[in-house]
Amino acid sequence: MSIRVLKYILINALLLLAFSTNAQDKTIKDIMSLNGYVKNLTTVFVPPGNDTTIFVDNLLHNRLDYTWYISDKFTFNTSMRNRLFYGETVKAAPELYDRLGDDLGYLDLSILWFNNKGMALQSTFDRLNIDFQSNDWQVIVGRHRINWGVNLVWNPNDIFNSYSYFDFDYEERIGTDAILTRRYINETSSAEIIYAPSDTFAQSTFAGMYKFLANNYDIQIITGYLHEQFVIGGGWSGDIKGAGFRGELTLFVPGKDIPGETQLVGAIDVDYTFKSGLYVHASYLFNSLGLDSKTGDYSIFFLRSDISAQTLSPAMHNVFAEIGGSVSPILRITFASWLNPSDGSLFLGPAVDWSVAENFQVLFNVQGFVGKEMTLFGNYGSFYYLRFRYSF
Amino acid sequence: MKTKITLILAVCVMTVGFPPKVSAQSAVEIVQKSIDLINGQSSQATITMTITRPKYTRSLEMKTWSSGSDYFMVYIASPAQEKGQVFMKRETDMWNWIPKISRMIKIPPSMMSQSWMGSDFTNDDLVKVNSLAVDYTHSIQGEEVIEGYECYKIELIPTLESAVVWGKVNMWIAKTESFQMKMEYYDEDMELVNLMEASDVKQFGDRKLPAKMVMTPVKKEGQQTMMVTSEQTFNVDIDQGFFSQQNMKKVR
Repeated sequence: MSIRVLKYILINALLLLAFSTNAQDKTIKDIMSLNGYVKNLTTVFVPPGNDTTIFVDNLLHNRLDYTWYISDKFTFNTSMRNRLFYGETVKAAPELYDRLGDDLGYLDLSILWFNNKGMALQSTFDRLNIDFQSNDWQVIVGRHRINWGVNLVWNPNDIFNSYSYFDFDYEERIGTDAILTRRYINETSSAEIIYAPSDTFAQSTFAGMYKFLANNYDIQIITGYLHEQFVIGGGWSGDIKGAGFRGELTLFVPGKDIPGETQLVGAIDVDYTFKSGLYVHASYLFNSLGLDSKTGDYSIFFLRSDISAQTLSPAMHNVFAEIGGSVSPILRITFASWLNPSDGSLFLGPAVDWSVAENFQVLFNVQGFVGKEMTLFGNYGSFYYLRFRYSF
Repeated sequence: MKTKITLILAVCVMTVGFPPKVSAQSAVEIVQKSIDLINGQSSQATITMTITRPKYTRSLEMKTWSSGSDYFMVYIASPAQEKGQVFMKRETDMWNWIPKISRMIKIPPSMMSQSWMGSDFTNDDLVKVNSLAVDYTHSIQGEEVIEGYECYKIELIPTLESAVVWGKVNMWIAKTESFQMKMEYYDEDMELVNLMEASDVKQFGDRKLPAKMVMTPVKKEGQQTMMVTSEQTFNVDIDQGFFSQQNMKKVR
């Protein structure tokens, strides 16, 4: 693995050199940009039950987003994440961190530098691509984020890399190794096709999306072949009397001779901002293969790191509600919850986001899980997070 | 973030044009002329907004493009966390492009019309700039010199059918240059609520305009919002086709 990573680091270094020789008339800002952040996230995990043990862990996280504007037509993008995990869980269960060296993509761009004595250091490139644009055409080759989501919580249309709602600390999300070809049909509509290679042809992904604006609604239609399934779906985003109204629906049909059931995943999303600044938001997710019993084995949900549009929730019905608002220009408070009406279990997530200084933010939030054993959120305890973030 | 969105929207609207209205030579014409001056057929600008509160300040740097009253685009240049975001309005549709998550979000109207919490401009000040010409009856009250410019002092009283939030607005408009130098916003009890003061007149392309605008809520000590235009050109070569989702991803 590491040879590949080194190769890419080398490529990057060469590009930087190339840029420095290219920079005769233009300023550095015209040719490249380097931005990113340093975050430190402290997690306190309080297990369920009467056990008084708590686990304190930290994640020191650096991100670098680098763009090289090679010419009017070509742009090179790469993003690197460096994460240092340290704390009690890393010490007690280092095997949980061994997987960090495995890259889930077609290219192997992740490396676990070390994992011992209660510390693990990982680096990964989650973007590495060349973007070509000419007139109405765009081609992106390499690792990039293909985001087909429309909703703000659950994204059944985001078939490339849907994510867990609970993973709030990684908003950029992993990239997909793919070739994207897009044509901008007019100012507000476009069509794109994507090929994401895999080791076997059958495991490769082919997909397409057509997006357009009609009656103040953004509408998209998606179709494809993914993980040996046929996919068809669509989404919309518009408003009803000023309230945001969005939805996504995706049908997954297993290919011929492929085991599995046809699955329908759909979500609706509504939000409204009052004149006072008060924000309310509600969402509903349906998963036709989900459980709708009072008890069941929902546990797989929290173990999966490669959550997909098909595994947004193991429950059939999911209700999300959020209320929040800015108390001042620098302080925002929100309270979110997720209910499984079938078993009555509940997630509660208050959060306070404070902009301490121009580029420095502090986030405090809680992920509380309430429910009986063998329910969606039962038996998970609660997590308390404190995050410092410096952006540059 | 939501605060920022509204803030940006409001700025967009401020830099965007409104169609000129033909009216009789009078106080209302002076007001209309001052509005048209800020706008132009199309424009491109670089603006910094600074919000001051007793214990902190926050700034936002942006580039804006506009064509007529219905098309605009804003690129956020700083702060670092928001850098690269783009907002676009095409007639009644509005989008936000967030490059770090590769997401094009359609912004619902409720978010566009929320109260503008971050700064000291109210929505009526900003979204309904033309309202100053159409929702009030105007009368010249006198003349005063502000920042060295001879100004008409014009009193604006809302018409019965208008739904504006103010009880009265006073405007000071430069007699020959037509720019708005000062404004006073009174509530329905005729108490002064907000004070806008312009200064630092500079040449921007084919016209002179105050580069600096400060809005102060007079009852809130230590608070103000300042907008400084560092660059602005008018009647630039951009048409409605410029305001595309493709360009949202390209401008910088």
